[in-house]
Amino acid sequence: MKQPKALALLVLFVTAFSALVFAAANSIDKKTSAIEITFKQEGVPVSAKFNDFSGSIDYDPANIAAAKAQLVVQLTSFDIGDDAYNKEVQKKTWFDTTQFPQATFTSASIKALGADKLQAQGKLVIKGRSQDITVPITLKQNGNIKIFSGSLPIKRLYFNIGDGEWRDTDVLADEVIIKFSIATNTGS
Amino acid sequence: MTMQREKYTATAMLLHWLLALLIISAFFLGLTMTNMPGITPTKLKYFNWHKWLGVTILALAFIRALWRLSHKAPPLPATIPRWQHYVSAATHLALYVLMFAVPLSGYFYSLAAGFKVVYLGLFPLPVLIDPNPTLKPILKATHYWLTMGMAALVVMHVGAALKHHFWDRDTVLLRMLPGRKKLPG
Repeated sequence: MKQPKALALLVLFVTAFSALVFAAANSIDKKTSAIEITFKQEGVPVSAKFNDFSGSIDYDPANIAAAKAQLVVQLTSFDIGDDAYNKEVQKKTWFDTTQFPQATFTSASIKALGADKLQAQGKLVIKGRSQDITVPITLKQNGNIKIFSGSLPIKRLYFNIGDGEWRDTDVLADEVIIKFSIATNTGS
Repeated sequence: MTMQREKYTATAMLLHWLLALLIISAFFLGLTMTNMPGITPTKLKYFNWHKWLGVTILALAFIRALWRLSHKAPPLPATIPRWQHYVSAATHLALYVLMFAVPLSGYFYSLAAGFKVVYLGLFPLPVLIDPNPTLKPILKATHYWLTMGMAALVVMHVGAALKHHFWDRDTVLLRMLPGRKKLPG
């Protein structure tokens, strides 16, 4: 009885450890990555950023079919540079972070369009609403460091962000542009 | 000897009363919007309108200062003592300075807070400084206290004009009012 249990434990440890190493190899380096949004408020472009996000991008040019990306953004880390506004967007009208603390992107497929141009297709989930999106990506490689960057326009009202009286797009435009620069380090 | 006008020019009157209207509107809109609780679309609209008013005031103040520098003000009535000439000149100079300083401090406060100014929601105005959390509270206080200083001077300015008109019954206020070409004695 004792041996199978120890063996199972060993297998568990090895799997967990290799999963950890594997994840670390392709995981996002938060310090050198950035996710920013820009929107227009009565014609005024306003920017904000997310300070906390995680995920991984597996991308090997030799095996593009296996490429995949997974990104989780902590919506509570929204930072527009003003505490009152940061608190406001946590509310039900906006992100409703008590119910939906995270936004996620999960790729279904990644295509190479050129030497440094990629296209990811997948699901964007915000506030419980899911949308199939196509993201154009520019890839820069610097040794073991890969930087995936691009921008993606989304419609905030599709995700019910800024509900009620905020649905007025004269005050707050429907379009929100997500700009990202995601770095992974395969060397570490 | 050149004839000195008894009254301000029509352009000077127009600029004076237009700016009076815009400044008073911006002042009360500013008080209203900063006392509104929470964050609402109406509040954001008021903030933008306040900024557009400020930019309009700044532009008109520039035109007005140029006009004032190229057109001498009509003389004060002879009955006014010398010391009041100095007080009047100092008040007017301060009001001119504040017509620039108040909107400019507000403009820079908005930029420091990370909100660019887009005039009438159509014309993006120069972004002269980056968002700056250190400067933000300093500029906010500067904008507030310059405004309150200006409000005090405006109250004094209006009070003095009314006192001259109704108490002293002289021509001080009439110089800035359209109407009769000739001023009494």
